[in-house]
Amino acid sequence: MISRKRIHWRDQVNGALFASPFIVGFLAFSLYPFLASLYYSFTDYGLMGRPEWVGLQNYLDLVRDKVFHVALNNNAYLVFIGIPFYIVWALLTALLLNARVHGISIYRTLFLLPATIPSVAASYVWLWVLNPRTGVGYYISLFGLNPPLWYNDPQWAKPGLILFWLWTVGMDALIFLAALQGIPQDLKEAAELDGATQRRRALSIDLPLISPAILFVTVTGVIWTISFFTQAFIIAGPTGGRESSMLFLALYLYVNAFQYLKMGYASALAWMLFLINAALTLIMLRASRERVFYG
Amino acid sequence: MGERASGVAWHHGMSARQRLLRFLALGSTLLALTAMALFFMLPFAWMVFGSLKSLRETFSVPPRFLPEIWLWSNYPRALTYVPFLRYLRNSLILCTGNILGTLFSCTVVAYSLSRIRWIGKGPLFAVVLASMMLPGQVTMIPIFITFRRLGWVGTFAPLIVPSFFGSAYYIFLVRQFFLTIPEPLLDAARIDGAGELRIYWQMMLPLSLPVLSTVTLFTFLGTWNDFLGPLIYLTKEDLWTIAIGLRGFQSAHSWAWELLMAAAVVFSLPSMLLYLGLQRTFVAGIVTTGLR
Repeated sequence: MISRKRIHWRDQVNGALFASPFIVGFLAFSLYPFLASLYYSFTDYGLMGRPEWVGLQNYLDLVRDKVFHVALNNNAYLVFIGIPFYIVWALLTALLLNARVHGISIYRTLFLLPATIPSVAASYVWLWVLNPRTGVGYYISLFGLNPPLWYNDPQWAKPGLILFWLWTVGMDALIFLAALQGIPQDLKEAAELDGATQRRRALSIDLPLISPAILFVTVTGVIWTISFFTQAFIIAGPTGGRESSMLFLALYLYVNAFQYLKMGYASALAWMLFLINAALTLIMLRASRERVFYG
Repeated sequence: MGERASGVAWHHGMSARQRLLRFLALGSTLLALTAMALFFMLPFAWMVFGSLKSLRETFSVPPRFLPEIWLWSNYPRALTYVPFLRYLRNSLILCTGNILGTLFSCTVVAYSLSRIRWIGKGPLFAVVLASMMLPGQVTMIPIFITFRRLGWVGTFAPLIVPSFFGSAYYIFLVRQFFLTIPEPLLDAARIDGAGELRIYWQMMLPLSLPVLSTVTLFTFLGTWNDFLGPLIYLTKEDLWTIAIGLRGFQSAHSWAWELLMAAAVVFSLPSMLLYLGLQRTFVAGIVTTGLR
């Protein structure tokens, strides 16, 4: 047998060697930038010069920045209004797709199709679909109603985006569908025999058993809304639309970093985003402890 | 809703009332399914039919759903209105580079974290998991500044090089798969004198084709659809990918909507075909990463 001592030494070297791409990558693309952005957030750094230390000034400016408040508000709209709608919609869709109807797999493919279109292309399509004159708006006017201006109207811009978002529910609906199909039928039949109504069965059996999936979709959904960028950029442009109704945090970050070249301020903004993200995720995980059933 | 319809459709013991309720439930489910299917299909149909209309028709009031004349010529026109083939070439260059980089780095690291016995194995895996939590915005700016100092802004490098250093999610995926390859198999090879490199190359990789193809497809889609990366780093127009090249159809006075839709359809095809063809793999992939 090969001596144990030689194997140990060689294995250590090999292990480290094979893992070296990630080790280098982590240091270069994760750890260093993470700490560097913290440093930059305390500086004033226009790309051309050198970073100048300003302490907490960026953060103070941020708190007083009205545009930041608007962006915060916009993202909050997505999180607190958009997400609930989205989750309910995804569940509804999954329930429908769970029906034992002839040709249901065709419906499943159709429902998934929009989610497979790249968000860049889909954004252009929805920009056109929600055009007040020639898109959906025309058909609404046929009913004698005044069609909303959608993206051109500050009041309707975000609902328009949510509508767009609901259109891409396919993947998450599939996840819920998979969860629903994992519910053991005999459990439900036993409950039915014991006299449980449909509603009771749904609340006490279905909901708890798919709660891990609900948590997953909710958490990933919130993380996604905090970094909402591409669709807003294409539909609203870097300015964020009329009255900044579509100026989201990630968009504001982009503008500060790559148009105004205020690297220090943008870094502070990035850290705020990170903290908001972390806080929301922690709150959700905490809230889920009592409610998610991992049976 | 779906539940009632999924029960037994009809049986002899049913009263007329029960039968009526079942029928209504089935009917309402079908109605809802069809209504929703319309909602999902209409914008998509709008895109496809729009790509075949004339520019004037795209903005006609009242809007026509189907094109009057099917302008298939929009497609070749769209491909020359902007340097579409160059954008395509650029997208493919990035995709290929990323696929090679990801396949190399992620398999190598995954091997270290699964089948090499060394002390860093556990701790490093924890680091991999932790790094999955790191959101992109926080690291974006310093990475950009570094690339700028290196003079790499305005080249493909910032979008390809990082993939050679591993990506936490794919490392995780491949590691899980590697763990299903039996240890005794590898030990037998080691006893026969095979070095780790040889085992990696001649055993781990050939046995891992399913997960490798999944990683390839995921990486391809991610790069093909990537918007922010090219937006920041591909500052020269001749480097643009299709994702940011679609902007070429926008202009100050009027957009070439019909051509934009045609280009959008072409751009969407790989994404649609791959996702649809592999639905089950994608959902299974998500489910196994820890829903239950």
